[in-house]
This record gives sequence, structure tokens and C-alpha cells, in this order.
Amino acid sequence: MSGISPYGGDTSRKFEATGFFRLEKADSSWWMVDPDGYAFITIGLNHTDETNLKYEHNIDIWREKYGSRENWIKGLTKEMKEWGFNTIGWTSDYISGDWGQALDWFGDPINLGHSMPWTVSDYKKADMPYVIQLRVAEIEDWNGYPHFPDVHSEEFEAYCEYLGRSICQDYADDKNLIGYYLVDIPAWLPHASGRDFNVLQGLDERTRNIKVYDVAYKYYETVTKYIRKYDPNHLILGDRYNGNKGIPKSVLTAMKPFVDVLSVQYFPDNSEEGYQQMKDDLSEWQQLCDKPVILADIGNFCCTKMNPNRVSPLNGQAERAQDYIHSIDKVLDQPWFLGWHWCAHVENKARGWGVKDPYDQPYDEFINPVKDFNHKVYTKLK
Amino acid sequence: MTNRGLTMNEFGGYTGKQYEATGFFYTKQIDGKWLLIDPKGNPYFIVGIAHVEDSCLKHEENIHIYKERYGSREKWISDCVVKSLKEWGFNTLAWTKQWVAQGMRHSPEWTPEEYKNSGICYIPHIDFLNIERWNQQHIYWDVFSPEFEEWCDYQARYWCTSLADDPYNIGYAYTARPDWDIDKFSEAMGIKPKEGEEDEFLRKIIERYYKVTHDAIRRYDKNHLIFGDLIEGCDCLPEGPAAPPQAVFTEMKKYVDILSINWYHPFDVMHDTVDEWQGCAHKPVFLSDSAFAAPNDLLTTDEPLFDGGWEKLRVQDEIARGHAYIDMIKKAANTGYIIGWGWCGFMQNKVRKYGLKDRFDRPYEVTKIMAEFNANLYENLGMNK
Repeated sequence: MSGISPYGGDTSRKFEATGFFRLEKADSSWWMVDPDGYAFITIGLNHTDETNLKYEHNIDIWREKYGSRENWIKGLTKEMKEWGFNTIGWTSDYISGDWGQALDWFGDPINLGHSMPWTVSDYKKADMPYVIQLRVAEIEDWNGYPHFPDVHSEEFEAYCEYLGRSICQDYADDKNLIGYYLVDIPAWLPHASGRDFNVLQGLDERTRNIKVYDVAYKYYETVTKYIRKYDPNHLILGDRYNGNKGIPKSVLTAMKPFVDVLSVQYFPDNSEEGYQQMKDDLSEWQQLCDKPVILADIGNFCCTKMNPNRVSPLNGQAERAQDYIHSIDKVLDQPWFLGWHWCAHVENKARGWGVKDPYDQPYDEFINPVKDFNHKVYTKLK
Repeated sequence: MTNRGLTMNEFGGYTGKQYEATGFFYTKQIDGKWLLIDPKGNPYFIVGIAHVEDSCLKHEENIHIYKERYGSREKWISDCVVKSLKEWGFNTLAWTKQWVAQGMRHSPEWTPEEYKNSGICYIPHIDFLNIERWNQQHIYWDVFSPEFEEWCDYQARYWCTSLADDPYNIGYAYTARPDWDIDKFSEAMGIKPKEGEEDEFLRKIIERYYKVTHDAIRRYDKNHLIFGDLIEGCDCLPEGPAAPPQAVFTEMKKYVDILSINWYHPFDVMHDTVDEWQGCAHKPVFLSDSAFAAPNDLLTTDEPLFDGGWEKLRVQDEIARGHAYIDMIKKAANTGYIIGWGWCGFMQNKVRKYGLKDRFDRPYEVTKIMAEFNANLYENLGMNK
């Protein structure tokens, strides 16, 4: 069994230590390297939001078990490590709204409210690897009221400068920070609401696909300039693309000079064909931009007592665990694969699924096999 | 000479008078006058500061000051913000969001933990509805939808479960300068009001909004006041905003404890209208966010302040600024229904351009005048009689 570094890296695979997370390409394989120089597969848990334990039905549990945000964070990180998760993923959670029977990114617009992010102080208390997100533009596919900026405007430039100055500066020296995500599932393909970047409105599909390159190039160029100005130390993980909807080639080309990692949200169909499709898609996009890949948001669900509407082919928590294992196993040995961030933590009333039930108890049939899998990842990669 | 410490308790309330102590702030009408009472049962007049944000001290030319003096957000809050506020005799963080970049981009509000650990009284602002007139990323919800209720429940869980037991929490405010645009609500709801029924359509929206937000807060916090929206003052110039819909004042009655007014004018200009609105809402009034500005290195005399007649806030120098502060706060307290004022803002930045400290962390001279006045606040406002 491999030894594990303080960050969660594999002590049997050593590279140069720079004091920060970085990338290394060795023998045609991409690796993420932790601050001490050890190969690191990022195994993250997304949407760790305290308010999921503060409903009327569970606030007493929060008060009795934790009683403060600091204690809740400590409890969370202890459990995450026990389960083999080494990274705090994107912390905002989907906390309001619904997507009906089937999620169709090109269908009727949806509006899924998201919670507030963690702060610098929260991450210091957590004291383990994490990623953060810069909400560069309010153009998420889940956002029913998106606002598309004029990326060539002074306003956009000034806002990106503000994000760098106010956020990245605070994190620049933190060894636990892996890097910066940008927007969650940004609408680089047309948004269901019909809203779009001004310069793209009214264009036919083919012309839009060409013109979106200019918008994306300026967007990535501007925001990464200010991230780098205030923080030269950390990775730029880029937008968390909506893999299930698709990623325009022109956007992948535009991001290539500015972003370090191809980050993709992808919820595969719960079948061998689904896992293969995910692998094929990631592989294709990866080749286009020549970046290593993080599965920034991957998850599954089944109907539960509180959320019987979350219907899927998976019948119960044990099947969810097998789906977790098979979907990750499909891509784990790929030379471009850096890791995955799993969705989500505590089951709430909006999202409706998690690794824990609404009363803060882990779904044992899910978490036990997942825990075994996570702890064996470095051994599997030998 | 100041007597702070002799006649003020740890919240900043006036110890010379005693009413029932409930452990939380509440309002009370005594002999026809509205009073805010602090958790110890002492009268309290809010002298607050709005817009308190640290990125103004993180530019290339001043980041060394931030790093040398503070080095962390926690230290900046305690040693820069709260220490300064207490030295100047301000007793409340009235709102922390700040205008930070072109396009009226604002910073996030402080977190519940930051407020709770600050050691000073505060009024957190909850983003139930982002329909600020200045907000170019505004969102008009269908306030009758289940998702709006879920959103408000989340906001209340986030804010109120953390702050429900804190005596330093005065109460919750909502949206600053809401723009009650009937067409945008209509678009969000997918319903167009019939001709002649527009006022009733908007009234129902406003009533529903105040009910859902109130119920969400009360689900998790039964202890604190509700300041509601910072109602936008109407202007006397053609380019300024018009008066808010009358329904705002009538429909908030059941759901809001204090009428908060965000009006950038000297008191004499707004006085008659504020009287009228107060009479309509029958609530004590909080002047939530305004200031006077003197020329400085960024705000030169030929620099337009803002649109909408805000030029009336310009004074010739820091001394005049201090006198304008005293004149306004005395006139406000003298109404018998105004319970405080939030001064805009803490530190100068490159877009707002004025504050009580410059962007190199140096207090302007106005703070000396304010500190002297605030040290004897209750005597100076006649609240000791």
C-alpha cells in the first residue's frame, strides 16, 4: 500500500517539490503534484454547505453535534479523510428550484439557486487541499436569469481586476489551495433562457460557433491576467464546462493559452455505455486543448425518503456506490486524468442527493464501498 | 472631553435611562416618540457606517499597508474597522457591501461569522431580491413561485440560524434602493396585468415579497428586528428616481419593524417626504445610507458626484463635512421617529472616491469632529432629557 503525504499525495511517486500544487507531464502522463512533490489524485467532495443541516428538520442535529461553523468544518474534514476524499471541491450547493422530470440543457430554462461560498478563514480551519471558484460572469446553465458581460468593456476588465485583487491576493501563499475554477457550467453554447453575449445574439449556429471564439478568448485572457497578477503560484482550473451539454471546439481553442486544466462537469448515464461515452468525450476534448482533465462535478442519485422525485436507473445506495466505482474506474488510468470531485455532501430538499442523508448520517451502503475504492486509488495506478 | 464609558453601555446605548431589558434590540413608542432599545434596556441611537470592504486597501500602491498593519481579514476587521469605528464613536456596522468596480459592481456582504465575531453592533443585509436600481445583474423573481420561497428559506437559514441568539445583531435589512419595475416582474412571472389593474398587480407582488421574506426570517429567528428594504429616496430633479410605489409603505406594515430610507440628500430636502412616508408606514425610521463628501485627491471639485441631484451632498472641506454630519444627525433625531443613520462609507476607493479614511488608511479630519460629537451622542441629541 502506498504511503500518503500530508496533502494526500502518493509518497511512492516523487517529483520536484515547489511548495504549491502544480502539474507535471512524465512519460506522456499528466500528474498533479502536491506541494511536497508527491503525485496527487484530487478526490474531492463538492457542495459542502452548512445550511443543508440548518433546516427545521435537522437544525437540532447541527446544534447538538457541532454548534459552530468551526466545529462543523472540523467534523466534515475528519469524515472526508476517513472516506478517502482529499480535496474540498466547489462548496456552493444547489439550494432552491427544480429541474422537473428530466434535465434538458436546451429545453425550458431552469433556475437553481446556489449557496454562498466558503471564506479564506473557513479554508484555514479546514487545513486540507481545496479549490475555489471565481464567478467571473453570471452565465451558468442553471441560472434562470443570466447576465452576459461585454468582455471587451472596461467594466469587465475592472471586475476581473477586482476579483484578482480581492480574492486571489488572499490565497496566493496558501499551500493547500490547488487552484481556481472559473464559472460553473457557463453557457458557451446557447443558454436555455435565450439570453446571450450581445455580439452573438441573432447569429445562426455556424456563425455563432465561430464568433464565440473571440468572446471566449478575451474572457480567458482578461480574467487569467488578473489571477496571475495577484497570484502567480496556483493552477488555473478554468471553467467547469457542462460536459453533458457539450463544449464548443472554439472555446477549447480559446482557453488553451490561458488555462492549465480542462475541468468538466459530467454526469454519465448509469451504464457501461454511459461510462464509455464519458471517457470518449473527455478524451476528445482533452486532445483538442492538450490539457489534463479534472472531472469537476460528477455524481449520481436515486430516490430517497425525502426526495422520491430523484428517480434514476439506480435502485438504492448500494447501486449508487457501484456506479461511482465503475464510472471513475473507466477513466482512472487515462494519462490525462487528474481526479474527480463528487457531488454532493448532505442530502438537502433542493438537490435531493448526497453521500449523507438529511439527518447527517452517511448512507453506509454507499460510503463503505466508495471509501474502499478511494483509499486504493494509488495502488490501482501502480 | 468625552464621557463615553460613563453614560454608554457595551452596545453603545445610553445608561441614563432604563427600560425593559429583553436581551435583544427592540423598538418602543414612548410619549409619541420612537425609541430603539438595546439588549440591556437602554435607549440606543444608531450611528452606523455603511460600505466596509477591504479590497480598497489591496492595490499595488497600498497593499503594503494592509500586509504590514493587518495581514489577514480577521485583523483588518478588528484592528482597522472596529477599532476605528469605536475611536470615532460609531456604534454599528450598518451595511458592509461596497461599490468596488465600474458597472456598479458591489462586493459581497460580510459573512454571519464575521459580523458575529466583530464585537460591535450590526445590521446584516440579506439578498432576498437583487433588484437594486444600480444592479446591472438584477434578478426579478416570480415571488409567487415555490422556488422563491426556497430561495428565501435558504437566505434565512444562512443568516438567521447563525445570528438568532446574538445580542449585537440589531436586525436584518434587505435590498438597497429596490426598483419596483412592474414590467420586469411581469416578465419573470409570465403574466401581464390588464390595463388599469397595474397598481393592484404590483401591490400583490410587494405584499407577497414582504410576507415570504418575513416568514423565512421568523422561521429561524424570532428575536431580531426587520429593517426591510432600504427604500430609495425620491428626487427633486427630473433625472432622479421617482417616489416608490405607495404599496411599499402600506404592504410592509405587517412584515417589517422599521422603515429604512436610503436618501442621498441633506435632511431639509427630504424632511417633508420622510414625514409623509413615516406617517403612512407608522414605523420608526432608519436613515440607512448617506453622507456628505468633501474634495480629495480622487474626488476633485470638477468631478461629478452622482446622477440625480447628489451634488447637494458636496461640502467645501472636511470641517464643513463634520458640521454637516452634526446638523443632519441632530435634525434627524429631533423628528422623534428617526432611530439612527448609517454613514456612507468607511474607506475611500477608486470608484466611490470618498470615505472616512483615505485609501492609505489615514482618517480624514472629519472623524475628529464626529468623534467629539459621538462621544456625547445622547447628550448632544437631547436624549438624556
